[in-house]
Amino acid sequence: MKHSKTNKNKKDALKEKLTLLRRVSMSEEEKDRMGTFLSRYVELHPVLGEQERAIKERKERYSAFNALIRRFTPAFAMLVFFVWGGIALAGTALPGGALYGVKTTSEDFRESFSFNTEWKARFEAELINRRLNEAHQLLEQGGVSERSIEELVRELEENLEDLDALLETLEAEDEHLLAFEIEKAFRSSINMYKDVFVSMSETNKHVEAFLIHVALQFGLPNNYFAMDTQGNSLALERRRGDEGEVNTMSLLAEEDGADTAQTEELQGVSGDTLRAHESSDMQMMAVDSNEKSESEMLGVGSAFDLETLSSYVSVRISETEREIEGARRLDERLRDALLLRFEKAQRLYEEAALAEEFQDESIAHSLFLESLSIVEDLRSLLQMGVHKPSELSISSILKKLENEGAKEDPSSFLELEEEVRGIRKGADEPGRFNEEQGEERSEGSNEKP
Amino acid sequence: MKRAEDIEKSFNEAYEAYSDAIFRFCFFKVSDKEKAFDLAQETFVRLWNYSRTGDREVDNVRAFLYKIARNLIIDEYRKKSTYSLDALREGGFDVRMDGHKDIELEVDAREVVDAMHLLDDLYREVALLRFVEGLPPKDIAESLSLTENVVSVRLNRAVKKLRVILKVEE
Repeated sequence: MKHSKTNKNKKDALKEKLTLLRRVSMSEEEKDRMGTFLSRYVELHPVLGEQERAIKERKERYSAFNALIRRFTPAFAMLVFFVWGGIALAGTALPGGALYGVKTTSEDFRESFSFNTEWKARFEAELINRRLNEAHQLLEQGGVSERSIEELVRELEENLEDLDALLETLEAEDEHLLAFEIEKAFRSSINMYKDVFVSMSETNKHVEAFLIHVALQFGLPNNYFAMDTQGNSLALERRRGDEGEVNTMSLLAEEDGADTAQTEELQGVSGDTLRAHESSDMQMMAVDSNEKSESEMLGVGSAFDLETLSSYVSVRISETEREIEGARRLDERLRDALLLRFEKAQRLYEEAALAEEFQDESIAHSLFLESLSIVEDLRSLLQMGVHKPSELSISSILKKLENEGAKEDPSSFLELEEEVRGIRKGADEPGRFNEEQGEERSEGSNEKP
Repeated sequence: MKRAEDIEKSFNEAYEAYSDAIFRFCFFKVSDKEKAFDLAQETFVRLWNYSRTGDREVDNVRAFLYKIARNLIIDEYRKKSTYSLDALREGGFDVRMDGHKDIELEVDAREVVDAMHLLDDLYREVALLRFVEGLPPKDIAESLSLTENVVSVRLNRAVKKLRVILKVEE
């Protein structure tokens, strides 16, 4: 009891000491100063009425919003910085790379902001060009892997589908010239980079599948396709030549003047990719690469088999027929002339199909190509006829068609076939094909003087 | 909703009752008399701005004032990172003992002020509110945004430390 009393006293001693701190206070003068200031403040800022309260509340809400923005501004700035930086870094990413997805997503994002079909179509064509450039870079760096090619092809397919849809929209909006221009740009992109694809397709089935996809869905530039498959055909014949047979390449090349010109162009196209980059002038390239060795040329193209070629030509034929018949602004004389010439392509296709049925691949190949070549020519003439329907251009197109028709001699294919067949000397039942085809051929030759 | 006169009256009463306490609290926190004065004045300005809307009532004005003061002091600390006792003394530390001419008391008071400054801020603020201002632990907890349990523990430790510093035996 005594102890607790002492303890309490001691505690009180501490408390007492601490209470001395109450003497720490403002001086009278300071207290007056603060009092005066606060009275004045209260006078200047009286109690709010209802209206003022509402205004104040609004202001507070607004300032709370401002404070929120101020608070998150640095975070937002950081976010923008990183996203922007990431996209900038991703700009150079290649397929298969970690940032490639960011790059393609940012492209989609950018496109989604536009509602202008023309801009979108041009952008898609530009994206296709980018994809092709990426393929080129991949090859140069030697970084081609299954994954990177799959990614690239997937993106390209998407771009192509989008472009196709956009061009259709443009056509539907009667913007034929624009659609034509953009498609031309796309075709020249493919043309510039075709060697890249051909060399990739040798090692990867995805690229081959992609090329077939492009051919079926969009249609490759005719000289590319012709060159490619022609190259294939040449390679086939060259291999046979090595086995002791006559090389039919010379036959193909010397058939007539036009074909020789075509062969020159084909050789030009198969020239090195770098040169193709530097100049879009195909004639210049043709001259430059005439000196290319045959082995280089033969390395080109194993991308299409006969079946694919057949279905592609079939698609192109039916598309072309539809377009010639459906073209609204086409001069009737021109339409008749085009349809007349179109019949020729159709006939060649039928012959090719027959040859394919009899498993005579090289003949079928040549005939398919001839048919395709005519079809593609017709398509460009049709475009010209639709977009420049002046009397001058119509007469020049008619003249060209007339010349082409006169130059054609259907018997040349028969001769070619017989020549090849004679040279092979019974390689695989030659008589059978001749018997089946003889009647039809003679009908065809009767039509011509 | 309270009438304007009532609001003003409550404010004046709060000022009369707690202005010195708030000043002290600020003083022991920032160890600067002028700064403490400004902070105390600003605390009452904030109280007025809060009250004058008329639609918000404060249950515990005293605890509310400490809360405002504490927040203002935290802002002040952010502006100036340290308020050391040394800096305070170099700047001319002086405790006014208005109306008290007792030399012995003045010496004692200075001793306690120094002792308080030797305490950690955590213990100083609870000791001040409990033993100088006489706030119950519940109000201290409310003012400092702590739990009562934490307040009790801190008070206990503060007492022990002060005993050592002021040489008051148990």
